[in-house]
Amino acid sequence: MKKAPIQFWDYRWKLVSLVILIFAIAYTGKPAAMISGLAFSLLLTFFTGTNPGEAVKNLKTPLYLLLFMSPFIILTPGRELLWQLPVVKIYRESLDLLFTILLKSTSIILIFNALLYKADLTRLMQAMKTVGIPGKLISILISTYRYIFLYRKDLVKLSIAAKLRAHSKRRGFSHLLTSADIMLTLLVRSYEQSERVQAAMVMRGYRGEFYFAEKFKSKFSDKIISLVVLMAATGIILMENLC
Amino acid sequence: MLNIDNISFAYPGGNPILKEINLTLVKGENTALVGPNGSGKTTLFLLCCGILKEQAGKIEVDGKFIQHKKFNSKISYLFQSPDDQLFSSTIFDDVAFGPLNMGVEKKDIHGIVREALKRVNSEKLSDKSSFHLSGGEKRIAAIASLLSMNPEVLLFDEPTANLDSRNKRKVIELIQCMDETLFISSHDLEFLLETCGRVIVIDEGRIVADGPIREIMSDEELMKRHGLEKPHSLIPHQERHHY
Ligand SMILES: Nc1ncnc2c1ncn2[C@@H]1O[C@H](COP(=O)(O)OP(=O)(O)O)[C@@H](O)[C@H]1O
Ligand SMILES: [Mg+2]
Repeated sequence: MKKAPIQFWDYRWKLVSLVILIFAIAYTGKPAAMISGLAFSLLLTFFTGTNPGEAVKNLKTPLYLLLFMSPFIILTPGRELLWQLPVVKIYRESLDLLFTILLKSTSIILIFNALLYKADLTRLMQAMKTVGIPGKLISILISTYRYIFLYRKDLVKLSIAAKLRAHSKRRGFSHLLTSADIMLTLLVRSYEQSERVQAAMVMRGYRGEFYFAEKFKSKFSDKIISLVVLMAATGIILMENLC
Repeated sequence: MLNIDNISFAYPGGNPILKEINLTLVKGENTALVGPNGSGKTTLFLLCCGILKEQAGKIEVDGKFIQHKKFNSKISYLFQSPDDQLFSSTIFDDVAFGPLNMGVEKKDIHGIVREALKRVNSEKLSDKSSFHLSGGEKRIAAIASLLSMNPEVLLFDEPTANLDSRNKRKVIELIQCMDETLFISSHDLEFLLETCGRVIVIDEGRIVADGPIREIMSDEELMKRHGLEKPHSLIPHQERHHY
């Protein structure tokens, strides 16, 4: 399997620069800054060899959620009336809000995707440790991530099983109820599995601290890429303040 | 080697699962643990390695008492499902996890991992991710992740579950070469006949038989009483008549 360019980027540099970029984007509020944030995260997605299909897959769920919330956001009253439709009134502030959330969350998810794309979790954990994140916090982050991962895997498996039994042929409220039931059962099941994984770790001497076999070695190119990302982050912040 | 002294256990709010269990494993000898589903085999193993806490009695390994949730390098437990055991991004990291926690020097770690993988004939798995392994490979890798810690007692919980006959053969050959003390639970009596010299039968929380495996498994009456079937290989071949 060919490695994507992003996999060659030293984990420590990748972690620090992408997290700073995320904070920079989270800080923006002006359209120009937000749009350049999105543009840069798209560039990052393509230049680092992050599979666009994967990115779209990861974007899907949060965007659905946003779509689901958008009528509520749009209908929030504001001061400046834009359109007066027969029943609803659309205000400028609520449209702005929707636009802001959509732009910022898309960019942030794209960057997260670049950070985690084909990442070796052990190395990522090690990078977190070397930049000074406490071991307990890393452990919580990783087990949450693993938990979500297991949950998603099980959900896919179970929904296939449900489809095979013509579950989707049933519509309406009872369909919804069984789906909710499946999701709850899974929630408990993946919780139990993550407990067992934790027990397995303790039984192999884990005491809340991770140890690693390898040392990091960074190349000159790692620093150059990070420099580019940090310059972009600075640019976005400047735009926010100067435009 | 492993000494279980008057152990009783019930899950919170449940009926007693184990009642006054007494047994001692002999060093270097493989012992089988059989009993119907839900008879408490897994529970007994979890008690032996300190994942669960006994309500009464004591468990001792090599002269040291097992303490709840305290790591003991002398005893290791192979989970029923390898997915509970393998959590790192590569098999190398999983096999290295125990020794690193035990304070092995970084320069020695590669040798230890290679040695453990060599013992299970799977050096090629080192850089693979456990997500991409077959059931048989996962099982073998999970065994290697225990062997790298050099335990004296190994508890194997249904090690042949979900394995095809070729992988089962691999596990049998592996066990036959091991000089550690093994305690193996399984429903696969033919497999146990090939790997163990002694068997312990539990039913309804009590030990109902303990002795040489061929002798006990030939006792059709006893086997039937506890929901077990006499293995085919122990049924005397009928004389074939040649005409
Ligand atoms: N976490 C738990 N909480 C409550 N009851 C449990 C739990 N785990 C197992 N049991 C019950 O304990 C009994 C013994 O289970 P187990 O030790 O897994 O049996 P075996 O491994 O022999 O099939 C079963 O009746 C099971 O339902
Ligand atoms: Mg069991």
